[in-house]
Amino acid sequence: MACEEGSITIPQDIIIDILHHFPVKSVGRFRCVSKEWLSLLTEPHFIKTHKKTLNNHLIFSSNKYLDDSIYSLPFDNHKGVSTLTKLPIESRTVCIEGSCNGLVLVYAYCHLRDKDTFYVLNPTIKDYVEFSAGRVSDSPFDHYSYGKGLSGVFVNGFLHWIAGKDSDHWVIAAFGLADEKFWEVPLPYVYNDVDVFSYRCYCKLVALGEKLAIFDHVEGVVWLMNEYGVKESWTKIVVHGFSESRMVEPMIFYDNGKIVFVNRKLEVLNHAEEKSLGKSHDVLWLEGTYVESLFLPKIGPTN
Amino acid sequence: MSTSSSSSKKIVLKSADNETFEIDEIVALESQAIKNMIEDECADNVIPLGNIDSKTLSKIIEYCKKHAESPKKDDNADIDEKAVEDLKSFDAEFAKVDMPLIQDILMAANFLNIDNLIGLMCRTIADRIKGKTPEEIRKILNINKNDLLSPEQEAKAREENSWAFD
Repeated sequence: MACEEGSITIPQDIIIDILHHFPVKSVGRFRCVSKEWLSLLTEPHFIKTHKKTLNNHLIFSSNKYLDDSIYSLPFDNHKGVSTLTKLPIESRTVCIEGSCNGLVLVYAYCHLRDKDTFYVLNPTIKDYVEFSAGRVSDSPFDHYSYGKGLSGVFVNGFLHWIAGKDSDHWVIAAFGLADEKFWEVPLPYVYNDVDVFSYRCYCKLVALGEKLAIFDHVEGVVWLMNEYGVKESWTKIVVHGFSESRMVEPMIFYDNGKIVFVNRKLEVLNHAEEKSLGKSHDVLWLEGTYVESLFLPKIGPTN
Repeated sequence: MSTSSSSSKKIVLKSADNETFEIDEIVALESQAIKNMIEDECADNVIPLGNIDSKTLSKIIEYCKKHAESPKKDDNADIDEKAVEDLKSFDAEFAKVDMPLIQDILMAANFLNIDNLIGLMCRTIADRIKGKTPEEIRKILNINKNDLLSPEQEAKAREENSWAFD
């Protein structure tokens, strides 16, 4: 193979292949290597297709007076708590509405201006876009749902909510972002005619990995839909010992193929190796989780 | 797949520097490119590889031999763990070579279409630049001087990606 003495030249397509597998932070550093790498690694196609590293992070709001900031904390099976990174949104009443594909939707209320605003935040690259109304364009999924308290659970190109039907029972309503149509997701088979949503106020929809799940945080039961849209694929997972611990509305998420429960005080429940995240942060309020990504959408003109 | 060939069938590979290597067909089949040639019956007794030198080719044959001998994962779901571990440590040892040879093996594996080996070489390169500073990466991959960012461009790139340098 012809090459200058000592130098190694790897074709661009193989280099891109290699760079796809690096975590987001490495990609950021590699942008300073050369002109070629800078342009490769900032290219929109690379950013969209870059393999999202499944490093889970917990996201918090602070309830300390006059410091309504957002914080993040890497969740790692082996290391436990490490550094808290303060995120760039400050001085407002903030609320995390949901997260997907490395982006976090934040609702913020500014007292001084009596104005509410939404942010799409990428906590990894510490950047965000702001919008008050209107649509998000250039998103990897064409649209986002927003509106305080209305954000649905995003799985498989659909947003999902628990919704009432015929005034006497509850269903999972789904809205397809591609065709902008609603449909109803089949519910699991249950025995003795018991409605899976009979205690609806204790149930919420969650996304676990790429799958839709129903989480009953009083009974400690998870229904996981293994194959999207297939009624027979719902699997019931009973979390043993769940009722014994004092629940402060636990969060549920996926970490390296395991379902992990964390309560508001940062105690990890039902985690095989570790009982606790290490220490609890009194000033912090666990709001959700996100994974690392390079992506940040552009906001089109608001109407 | 018609791999019902007798194990004694031999294939001869000829390197760029005219060295010949006689190998079992089953070893040669690790290369998708050679496999296609054999299946299309356009492989003569001797396959000339004009862009692969003998040093690189002998490394590649070493790799293919080991992998051809090892039990395949899809043959048997509960394949014995020792064999898997054995192959892993072989791969780790195999990759302990200098960067120019890694490049030659990668290019040859790419030409011969040996997926596992391309993957191994890519992971090896990734491991060698993991956690390295931009300066160190420039050295390892010998980035062309003409391709360097100007001091102003680099300062700007660092500023914009400061989140990655925490």
